[in-house]
Amino acid sequence: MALARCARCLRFDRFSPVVRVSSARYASGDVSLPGPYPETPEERAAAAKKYGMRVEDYEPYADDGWGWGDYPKLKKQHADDRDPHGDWDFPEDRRNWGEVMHIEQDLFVRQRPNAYKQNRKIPLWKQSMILGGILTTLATLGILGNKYKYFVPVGPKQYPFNNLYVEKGGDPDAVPDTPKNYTFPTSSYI
Amino acid sequence: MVISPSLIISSLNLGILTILLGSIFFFSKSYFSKGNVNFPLIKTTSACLSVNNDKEETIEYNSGPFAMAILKVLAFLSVLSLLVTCNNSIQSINITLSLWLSNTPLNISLNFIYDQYFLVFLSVALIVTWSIMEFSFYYMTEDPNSSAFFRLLTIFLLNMLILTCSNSLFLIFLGWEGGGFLSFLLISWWTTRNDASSSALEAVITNRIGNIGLITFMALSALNFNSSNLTNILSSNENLTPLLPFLLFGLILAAAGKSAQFGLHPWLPALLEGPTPVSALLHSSTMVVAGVFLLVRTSELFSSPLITHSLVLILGGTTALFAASTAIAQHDIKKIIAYSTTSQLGLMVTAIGIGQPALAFFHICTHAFFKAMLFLCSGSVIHSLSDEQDLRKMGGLSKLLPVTSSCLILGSLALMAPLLAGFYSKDLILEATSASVLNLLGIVLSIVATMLTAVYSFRIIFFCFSLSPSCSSPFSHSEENFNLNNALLRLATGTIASGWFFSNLLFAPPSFNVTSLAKGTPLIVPIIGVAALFMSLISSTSNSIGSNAHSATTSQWFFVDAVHLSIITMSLALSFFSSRTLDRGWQENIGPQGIAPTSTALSKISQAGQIGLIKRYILSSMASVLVILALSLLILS
Amino acid sequence: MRQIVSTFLFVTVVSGTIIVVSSENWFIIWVGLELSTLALVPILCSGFSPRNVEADNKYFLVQASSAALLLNGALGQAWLTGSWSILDPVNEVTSICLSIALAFKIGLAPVHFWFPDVLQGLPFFQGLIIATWQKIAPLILMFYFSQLGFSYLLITPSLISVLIGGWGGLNQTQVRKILAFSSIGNMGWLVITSAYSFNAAIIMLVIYLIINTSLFLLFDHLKVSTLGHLNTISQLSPISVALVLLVMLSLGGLPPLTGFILKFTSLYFLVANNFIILSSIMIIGNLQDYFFYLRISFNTSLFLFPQHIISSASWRNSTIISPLAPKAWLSSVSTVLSTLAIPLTLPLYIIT
Repeated sequence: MALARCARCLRFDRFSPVVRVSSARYASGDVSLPGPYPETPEERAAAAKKYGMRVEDYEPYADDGWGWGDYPKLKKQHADDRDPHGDWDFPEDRRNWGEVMHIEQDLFVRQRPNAYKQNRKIPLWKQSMILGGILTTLATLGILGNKYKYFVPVGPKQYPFNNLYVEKGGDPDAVPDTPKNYTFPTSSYI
Repeated sequence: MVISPSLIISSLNLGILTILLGSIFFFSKSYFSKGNVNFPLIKTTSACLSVNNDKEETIEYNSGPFAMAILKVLAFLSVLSLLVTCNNSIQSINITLSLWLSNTPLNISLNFIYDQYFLVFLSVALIVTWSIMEFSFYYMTEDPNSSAFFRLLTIFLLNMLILTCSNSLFLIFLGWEGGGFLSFLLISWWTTRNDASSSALEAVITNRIGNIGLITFMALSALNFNSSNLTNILSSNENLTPLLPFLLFGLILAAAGKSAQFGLHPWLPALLEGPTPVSALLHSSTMVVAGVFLLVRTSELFSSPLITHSLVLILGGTTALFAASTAIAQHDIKKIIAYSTTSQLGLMVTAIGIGQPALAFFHICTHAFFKAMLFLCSGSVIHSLSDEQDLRKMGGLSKLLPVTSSCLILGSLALMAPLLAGFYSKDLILEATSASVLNLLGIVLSIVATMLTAVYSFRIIFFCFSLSPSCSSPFSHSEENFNLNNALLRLATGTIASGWFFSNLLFAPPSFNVTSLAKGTPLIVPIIGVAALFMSLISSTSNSIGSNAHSATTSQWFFVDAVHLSIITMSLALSFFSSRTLDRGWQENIGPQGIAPTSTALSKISQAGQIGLIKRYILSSMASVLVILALSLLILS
Repeated sequence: MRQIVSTFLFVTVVSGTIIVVSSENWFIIWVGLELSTLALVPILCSGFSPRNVEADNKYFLVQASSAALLLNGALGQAWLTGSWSILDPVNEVTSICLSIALAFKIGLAPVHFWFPDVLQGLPFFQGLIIATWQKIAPLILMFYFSQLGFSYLLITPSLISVLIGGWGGLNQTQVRKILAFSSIGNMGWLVITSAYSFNAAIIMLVIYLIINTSLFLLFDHLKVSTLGHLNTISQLSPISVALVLLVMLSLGGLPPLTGFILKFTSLYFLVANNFIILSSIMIIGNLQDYFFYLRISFNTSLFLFPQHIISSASWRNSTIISPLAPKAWLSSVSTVLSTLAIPLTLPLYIIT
């Protein structure tokens, strides 16, 4: 418990008033977002302050014509991968107040499936290999099974004369004639 | 006076549907004394409308008791109509009530078909729903909105019955959609939970994919047969070779979406976010079998190309194997039962694949009883352990919850032990599979799935009952509640008797000629499975827990991880350019950001003309008329 | 004004229109139009406020000049063909004269300027006469006229007036001006449809007149002339909130309401005659109409502007309308017809 409190005190950047104020300005929509691409270090610092980030964390998108401007390039992290027991301002969304959103934030909300899962126990390529292996095996077996069919022909026991017609519950008044030879029932799938 | 049995049956069934429809709109009024503080309903404050201070009584309006009573009556009525059919050999009754749109080339009418499938399904569904309604009256007492919950369950049942009894494809679609929609509403019952709403979304989206299939089928049959009538479509003699693959594809897609076959399965386990009665009613006994039921109804279409049979067979077998192998490694008791449901659905589809729709339907009916009972048992356990779902934290329940635990054992055994309901149908399906020459893989997959069924069933039994109690929390509820016990015992009776009753009195199960080895397989294989389970329980170490195979079974063969990721990445890659250039680019500039300034400017220009001077009005009118004249002369000449 | 005088004037207005509709002679038609105009002029300035008189003057001048143009065209027609009949084929010059005159009378687009001003200067009841009754005679003539031959001179102004009606109304805050611009737009719809089907145009005219009548009567009852005051309707007469909302949406053409048939019939005939691209322009114009209809509906029923509590409460008992008054009866019947009459209009649609 004491350890947790210490850890909380260490995260001073969340509680420093400067960051709070600038986050609030960003969140209240006073500034127009995004601004032009920052060229000089001073502009970078100003942009970082606008988004409530530290200068060393701030990294804009490359200025390659997509028009992202000075919007910060954030880590792709789904909300599912965030600490579920963390001290969030909005625990159901796992977000803090005034936190900068990723530019594609709607991919990372909790209602979306997590496509960018981090810390997989088994790496993705191995997972795909296992799934693909199982499915390929099944498909191969299916094709083979379609080609080489296995069938043990078994017929019902047949009795001479009229095949125990009356004894099997037939109508005694309408005993059919003796069949000329034994017949096998035709299966519809041969 | 001679009353024909078909008249009795049709009037009874129409009456049942009508009463069910009407019962949605009624409450029941109940008086509760204030002195009886133990009664849980006092606390729920669902709809306390008037309080009489002198008598210390509260009048409450709740639709629960009324729904229970109605369902009870209807269940008895449906059993009555079933018994009438037993004695008289009635093939099917076709009722056309009215023509909706009679002037179109496609006649759309209110067309019901009362055949044996529907009659049996009706009684099974009503009995199961009656029990589940009773159970949910026990389970949902503390929910402030429980009255709406019972009503939603009733509406769902109505939709399900419409789906099963209708002959017109449009009515089938109505019931199909209604079932999907109500499942969405019921899964997101605790709608403020993120997980509940996202799994409801997942369910509804997967159902949409299934609906694409059904709509394909409807559209193509309207195009091809000029009819929305199922009997017309099935009995039509038209040569439909070019379109038949697409029709069948639509049907299989629809069934796979609704019945959670492999590939579209992830929504079924996700549904456990809903309340337990919902899992019991929708996701084990009624709604999920709608896909199989559709295949049963349309099975005549499958007769010609054998490759479709093979495909359906392998689809069902894969589902059965997948779900069973996943179930053995889960720790959530509801999840195990849900995967077991998926596995049984796979078995039903296998039965369709080998061309035995009657057996699939038989399995639907028996499965409904014991699977609903298993879910209710798990609900009771979870409720009693104060919302503990982890299998490893249960133990020694037999001393604490005797009725629930005996029902749980009965339900787990129902698939394996002879003379219980599930065994009748499952045995027949395995027999038919081994007697067919379609594909070897079908029989292999279903036998392996059967073995794994035994494994996970015994795992539940072992963890719940063999060890000493390991739950930390004190027991919050006891099982001394009539609503719980009655529901469980009724379903237990069904579990014991339904297989015998249906196979002897209703269905005429086809007989197969199989070797004694194949005949013995359904008996031997579970024993092997149970032996393997105990072997592995003894010998399993933490090393085997970390193995790839174990991870593959716990994470559902990595299907969700790998396939969802690839789908999302693919669609993102495709949609990045469009979203960047259109949604946040040209489209935005031209559309929302462009139209508003343009029309504002034009509006200002046209307003500038309204200066209020009549001389200039007439002058500008004449001038503009002359301009138009000149222009039209120039253009036209 | 003495009652007997006003009754006399009303009868003259009505008979002028009936003369126009039932005659086949251009001269008699001119007489009928002039009759109803001249009889209407005293009715319009019965309030005798300066704004009222100004609007009356404008109305008189426009009607007089258009009647002169009409008589000019009719004389030319008589001179060329030797007959006054309206069924004779028209010359190009006379057809231009006649159609400009009729366009003046109903307020089609390039000659529409007088209409919002005149309507704004009049009380709602007098405005009702101008916006509905006075449109019947010229419109019927216009329908006959467009049967004589396909005229680009009618199609182009109609298209323009659909668009102008939308743009003009967007920036208005006065209810009467908004109604005037919506009327301009709807005239465009009617005239374009008449180029393809006479019957459909007649049906559209009837439906449009009913809807417009109920709107004018409602606003006359409520005495609300600007958008800002629409909000008080909820205090003034709560049931009118729903009525204004429904009639407005019906005028816009929302499907379950009667006005849907207006747009549906028109578009059905236009699309059936391959008028597809231009009818999409008309739909865009109607969309703008719909925007300000929705603005009226929102202001009436969904917003609550900030206002003093006393001022809102004082409205409450200000107007008490007797259920048996003819105006109340008329407005209720026309409101019901303009919202719920779609089953009645379906047979009409089959007749066409």
